[in-house]
Amino acid sequence: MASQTNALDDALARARTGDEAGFLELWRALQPRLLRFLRVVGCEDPDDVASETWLQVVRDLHRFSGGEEDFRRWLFTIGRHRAVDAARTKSRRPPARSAVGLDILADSQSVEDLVLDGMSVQQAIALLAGLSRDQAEAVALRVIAGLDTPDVATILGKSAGSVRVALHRGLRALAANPAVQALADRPAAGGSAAAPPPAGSATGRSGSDPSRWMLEEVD
Amino acid sequence: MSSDRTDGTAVSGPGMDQLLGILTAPPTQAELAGEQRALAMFRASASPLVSPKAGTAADGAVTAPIPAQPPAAQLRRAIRNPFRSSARWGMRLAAAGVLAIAGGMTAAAYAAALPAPVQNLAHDVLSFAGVPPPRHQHGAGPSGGGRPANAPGGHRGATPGGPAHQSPNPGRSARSSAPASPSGSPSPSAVTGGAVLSAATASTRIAAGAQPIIDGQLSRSGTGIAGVTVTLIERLAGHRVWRIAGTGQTSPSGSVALTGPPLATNAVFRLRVSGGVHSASVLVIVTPQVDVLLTPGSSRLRDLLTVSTRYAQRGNLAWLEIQSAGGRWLRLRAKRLDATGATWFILDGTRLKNESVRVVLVATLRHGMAVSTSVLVPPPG
Repeated sequence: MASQTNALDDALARARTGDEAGFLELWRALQPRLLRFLRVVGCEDPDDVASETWLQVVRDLHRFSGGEEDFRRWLFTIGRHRAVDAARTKSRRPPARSAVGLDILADSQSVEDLVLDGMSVQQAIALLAGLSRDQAEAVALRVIAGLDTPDVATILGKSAGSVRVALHRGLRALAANPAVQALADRPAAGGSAAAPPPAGSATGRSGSDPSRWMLEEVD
Repeated sequence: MSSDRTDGTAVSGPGMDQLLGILTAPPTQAELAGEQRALAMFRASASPLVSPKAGTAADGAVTAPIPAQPPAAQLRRAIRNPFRSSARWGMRLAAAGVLAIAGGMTAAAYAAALPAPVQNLAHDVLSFAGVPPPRHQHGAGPSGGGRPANAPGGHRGATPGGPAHQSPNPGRSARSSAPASPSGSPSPSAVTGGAVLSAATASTRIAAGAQPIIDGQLSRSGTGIAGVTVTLIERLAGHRVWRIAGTGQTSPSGSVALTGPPLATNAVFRLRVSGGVHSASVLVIVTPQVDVLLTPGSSRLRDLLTVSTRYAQRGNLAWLEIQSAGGRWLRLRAKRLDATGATWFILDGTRLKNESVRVVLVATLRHGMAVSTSVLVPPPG
């Protein structure tokens, strides 16, 4: 796992010097997670917001200094700000919960694998989006973005303790959800659920069982 | 990361492993769909302070050096869908142009100041709104001299029915919407010597292979004209020529009902009389037949859904749809028809068990949308 992190560190270093392959490696590793995070926080147009986020990233990349973890924190900080901006611009109201479900799936990706296998991802995102805002953001940044609790706290502007509480409550609410409990009876869909995460992912840093480190964190 | 686990068991319920695994699952194809846009954005944002450097992408492709930094506006263009910028402006300009032209044309039409053929066309479309027919036709008898503005010859070179007749959606057709009203209420459409010939059909959508029935009414000053031979002409989708599809005589009340030949494709119909009067166009959409047959698999074989069609063409798109819990039909997968108008879908009974599926044939220029009956996927047995 450390080699994956190192690989992203290397990709980041190359991207900073203008290497397109390095940038693409970063983008491929983090864009999916950024999109999922944006959906959890209720972003109505996550693709556009993600594009705005990457726009700022590439614009300021030459001034960035730090490693892969710093970059990820920076990326999700920007993404969250852009999501808030988008929500304000849209309606001057708090961003609505993402209505992730079959309808969106049918409109966005008309591929059976996505509807059936990918449905699990969308349903999981919908479950997170059903939490309170604080809990959803904390869990998403911790689980999806793979950030450490102090980083999550920095992004959310809260103390690490309050983030831990939000994480704990959010995960407990998820665990009590019948839909989550029903997942226990279901085999991993096409291997996707149990498959190792992308390079540089949070789960990859702490082992193959994503819940293990999650539970370690929630104390 | 903290290693304290004082309350770890409180959230380790069943399914949590799966849930967290799903949330961190590998990216889907859709999530990586914007890669090219991101790359374009990266190229556009390359700083001149950074020395251009060629690299090798993960797929082995050698990437080009980065150009000098462009203006900020170019960055934003790079991340946006081209359709959202250029096409949006193009559509705005086109819409503005159409509105301007339409406004001017409408005003001229209401003033009956347009050339006779154009005025007649406007009258065809907007007669319900009071647009008058060409002025020179008022009071002119059948022997008034000169070719009527709406004679077939007068339309030669134009497109009878305009582009509307090519649209599979009659609701979008300004010319065909009125005469092709499902209510079948005829609308005056052509005038010569005070005679008005209208056409309508009670069924703007028919099954492919069925015969359309076009109802006509020939009248003058509100009185039906009896004993006049009326010709039904048709223009099939994808064809430029009009051909005779049938003839008949008006009844004492001036009405006539003509049955066309069996239709395999969409078609536009008109009625015509020898005096040069013809009706507006009537669009008829045909619906191909789509049959599905589910062959349940065994424990080792998956289910097979065979799709057969009639009057559809090779290459037409067929969607496999599944019914959601809310009743909506969601598209899963598409395949194109083969040379025999057939295709098939392999169904995973484990994932689709007890779900209703159906096949939808996408509308084309030649036919309308068609939907099969739904079938229930049995549990794998």
